[in-house]
Amino acid sequence: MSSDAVITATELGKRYQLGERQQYGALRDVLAGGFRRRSTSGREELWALRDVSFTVGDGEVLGIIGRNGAGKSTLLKILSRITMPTVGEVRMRGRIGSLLEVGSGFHPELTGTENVFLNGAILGMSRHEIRAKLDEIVAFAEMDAFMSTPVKHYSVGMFMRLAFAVAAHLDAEILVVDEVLAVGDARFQQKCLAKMGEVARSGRSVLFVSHNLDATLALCDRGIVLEAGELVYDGDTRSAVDTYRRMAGVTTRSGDQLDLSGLDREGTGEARFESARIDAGARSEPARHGADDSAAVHSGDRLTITVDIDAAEAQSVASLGLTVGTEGGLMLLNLDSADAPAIGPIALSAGRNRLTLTLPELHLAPGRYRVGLRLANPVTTRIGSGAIDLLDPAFVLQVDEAPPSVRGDGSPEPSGTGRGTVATAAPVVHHGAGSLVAGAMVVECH
Amino acid sequence: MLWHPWTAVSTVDGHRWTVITPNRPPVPWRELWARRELLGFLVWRELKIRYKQTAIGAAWAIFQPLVAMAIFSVIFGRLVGVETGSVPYATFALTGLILWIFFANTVGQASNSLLDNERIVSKVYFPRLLLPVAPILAGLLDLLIGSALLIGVVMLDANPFTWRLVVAPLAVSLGVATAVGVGLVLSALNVHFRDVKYVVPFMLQVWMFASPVVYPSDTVPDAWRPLYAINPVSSAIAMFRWSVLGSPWPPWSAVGVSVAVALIALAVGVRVFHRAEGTFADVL
Repeated sequence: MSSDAVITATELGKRYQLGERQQYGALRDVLAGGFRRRSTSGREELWALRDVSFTVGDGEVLGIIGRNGAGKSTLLKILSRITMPTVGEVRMRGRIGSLLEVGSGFHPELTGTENVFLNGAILGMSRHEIRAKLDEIVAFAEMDAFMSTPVKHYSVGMFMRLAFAVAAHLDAEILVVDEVLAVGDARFQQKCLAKMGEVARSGRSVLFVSHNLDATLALCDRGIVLEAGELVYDGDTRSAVDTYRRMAGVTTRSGDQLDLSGLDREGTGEARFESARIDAGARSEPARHGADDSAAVHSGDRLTITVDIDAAEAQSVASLGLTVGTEGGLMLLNLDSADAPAIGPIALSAGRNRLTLTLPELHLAPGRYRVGLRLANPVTTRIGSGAIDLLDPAFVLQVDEAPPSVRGDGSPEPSGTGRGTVATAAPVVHHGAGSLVAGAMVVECH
Repeated sequence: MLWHPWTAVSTVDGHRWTVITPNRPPVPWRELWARRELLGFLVWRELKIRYKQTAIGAAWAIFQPLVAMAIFSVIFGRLVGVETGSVPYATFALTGLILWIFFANTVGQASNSLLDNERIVSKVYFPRLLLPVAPILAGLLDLLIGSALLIGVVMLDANPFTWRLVVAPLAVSLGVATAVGVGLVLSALNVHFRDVKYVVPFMLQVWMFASPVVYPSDTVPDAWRPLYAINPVSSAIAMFRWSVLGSPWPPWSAVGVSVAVALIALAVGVRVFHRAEGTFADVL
């Protein structure tokens, strides 16, 4: 144990009897089963966390990343003392504040002020402490006018703002934080992030879990990656995020042939995306050949996605859609064949169908992007009714820095090939990274 | 101070260290004491919400015993003709009902307290023991309001109050200790076995007839009194009636048995609850 470590976790493990997490027993089972139920033999076990060791230094901000079910929540629950480890030990120095969810203690019938006191007390603040910070909390939440209104009359945004404000003013030497960033509108999210940054720089030690990788990168000094309950990486945040991205989905480049048949998906399944081939090239050429980095996709390239769709029977599909978003989950581009009258419904024959989606110019800042594919009937947006097959992401696209020669040559050139051009649903989207995205999609049926 | 660590704590180099291990720590009395302000907030929330959500608010505390008194007076006072000596049956029944309704309501609320607060239990750490205790303490306000009604009724009877009234809080304490012990066990069981939710109302119904609510405790033969006293509520009501109405004092053997059982229930409740506490968040 290093002398300046404020948290030392040693070989932590948490085992669940399978079913125990979701199910509670019925007394009848115990009465009928007698002592049988008490023995663990024959019951399946699941190690939600296994052999996890790490340290957090004084004032360090540690990011914890991993896929859903990787053990992040379990780890935070142990550190917050909500649940006990099965094996291992944690030593922590100083006062611990934990925020696994904002607003858990809020009651709809109570007013804003009353909820601040109640929630503060649940989180561990004294009445005196809360009174001293009340004005600051109210100002942060921008709620001055509504503090004597019962919370049940608040909008979701107002509720979340106030809840975050209470949590953000919790004074502790160690803070354990999960998921609290996703509150409010984009502007308030920025404010929350700024507050988190302030906390991170104030010398407190923070354990931070978020699905927002951009926030993790911005806030954390170090990152650990969990996978299937085990710690697979411990080091600088950048490499941790890269490790996670590699596990979460191999990034796709030009020329890749992808098998989509095994992916998690939603929809009725009457037709399914089976495979996709990605080709990119300079704008006017179908594909680039012979270049050194032929596999790279650059900003401004023409992107061609050739998909194979298996249909159970011949059918007409109202909408074929493509989404492009950041890995953090922010949608940048949502293109739908239904928006282009020239394309019309897409006729699929029974069996294998091949379609080509062409984005004549894809302007994206270098980085990784989630690309989603969907078939829907009737027209639908992302999720919800009508999806026949929805993959989000279908793959993660790697966009590299464009070589100078290919960059910025002239205006977009709507292409008339195939059956029609889809004007983009979001022709110009301003993105946090500062890039402008414009595009049009061309759908060809073969 | 935020909170005292749940598990072993030691102060080394002027720092406080929290050590989390799979070994269950002893009952965290110090921590419970440190979080007494939270208990106050939970009691306050309990009362505030009830009075906000219900149309007649505090009047429920009078309405419920009053209606039960009226019904019991007709059935047991008139039709059955239960003998209550110099005290009118209505007054006699009300005295028992005030204490019994407190007990039954708070045990019911305590047993559901963890499920009702599921979101907090699975997301924030604090000594969970405070959750079942809060509605029981909040119930004391109803008891107080009910007592005002009782005082009015007793004065209508022109029945004088005596120094015996100082024993009333002791009788109530016996009821509170029993309610806390039973409430802790039931709330912990309720998390693991949802049957408990259905068993509790039924259990309380049976329990009422095992307590001297509608009949005087001295109708129970003397030989059976110690056995009868295993139900601490029986002695609590008998003592309460003694202090308010001047009814006969229960045999000391019965009082002794009841007090012992209540204390055991309290100790067992705390232990059972504490043992189960570690897995609440895993099951909820």
